[in-house]
Amino acid sequence: MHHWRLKPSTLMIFVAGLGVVVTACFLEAGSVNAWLAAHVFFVIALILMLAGK
Amino acid sequence: MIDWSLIGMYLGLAITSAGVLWGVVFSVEGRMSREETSVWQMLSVEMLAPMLIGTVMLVCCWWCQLVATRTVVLTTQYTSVQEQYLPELQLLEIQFVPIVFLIIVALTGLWFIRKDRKKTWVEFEWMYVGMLLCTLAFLLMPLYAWEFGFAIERVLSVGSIGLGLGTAIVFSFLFFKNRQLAERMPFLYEILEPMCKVILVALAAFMLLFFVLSSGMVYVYPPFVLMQILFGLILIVTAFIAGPVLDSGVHAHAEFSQYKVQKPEAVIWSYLLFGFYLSLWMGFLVVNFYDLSAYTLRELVAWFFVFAGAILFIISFAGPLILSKDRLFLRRQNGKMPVHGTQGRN
Repeated sequence: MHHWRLKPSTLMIFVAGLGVVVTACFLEAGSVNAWLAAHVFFVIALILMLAGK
Repeated sequence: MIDWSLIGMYLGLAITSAGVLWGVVFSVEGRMSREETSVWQMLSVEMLAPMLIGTVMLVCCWWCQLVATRTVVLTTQYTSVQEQYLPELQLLEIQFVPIVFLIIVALTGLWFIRKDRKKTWVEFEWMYVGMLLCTLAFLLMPLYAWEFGFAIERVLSVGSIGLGLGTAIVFSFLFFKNRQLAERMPFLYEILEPMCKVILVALAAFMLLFFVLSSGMVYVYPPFVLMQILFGLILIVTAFIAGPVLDSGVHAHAEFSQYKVQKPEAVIWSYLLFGFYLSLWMGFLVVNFYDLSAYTLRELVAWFFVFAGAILFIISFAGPLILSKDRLFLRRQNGKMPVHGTQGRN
């Protein structure tokens, strides 16, 4: 059985994507801050990925 | 008509620019590898197909766009409509120059390419560099034609979406085309990670541009919400490709023999994954450059799933054809027939 070795940055991008989708669906309810936080999370994950983490 | 030809133009630009960009990268990799005929050179030669398809699409859609915009500007009696389309017409007329150079470079490059493969790949490299400069000039033309503020918005949005979409198309093309050539797959898995990084950087550039332009005010309307949902789904699928798909692919090729191809079930999952990924990118392009403000979010999501279903349906037609070639390839192996070597099947 092969176990996947996920990098933390890949997992973070997955979570950021999930966050963007979920917060976008509830944007009309006024959750703009959470939606912005998901984007900031994505940028941090991307910087980590570019650094090879 | 005008919106669709604009989308076709940007799709052609994305395919051409990504094809020539990765063609240059593969050529440089091939030149740096010490082997006489490396897989990198073969992959750089394969970038010819996206380059030509993209160029034909770009030139045709640019012509349609020019004719349609000129007709609107000349025939309408409303000054407001004329003022709306006049900058677009000016830009299209100026883009005539890079279009002419693009055609000249493509035709000259093809003219000089000879049948001897060992000599030609260097000429491919020069042609790719020339085409890359022409596509960059085409992309940067708004900076010459328009005011800086409007121009930089258009250049960065088209550039970032084009880079991401084009890279996704180029990789899917390479992946589908080389599935039955198992000795090339480790090279494809090697370039998968840098390609995912390029796609994510392009998405981040688009996102930062959006935040700078919106200047803190977010106007929530259905196409915008759909764009954000597609953005998030693209992030999820890219993370999935850069993580489990890449890791399992590298593991499979490290563990099994060099020429063993993957099981048909795994191939079908790859088709579905890359088909869905392409439909997400195409949806992202359409949402950004087509006026969808008349629709509700529910209608837009329903249309997107129809659109994605159509793309998956088309790919499922192409899939069995390539799968049957995979089976043929396995049968040849069992029958001790000579396997495909580095000479390829081009």
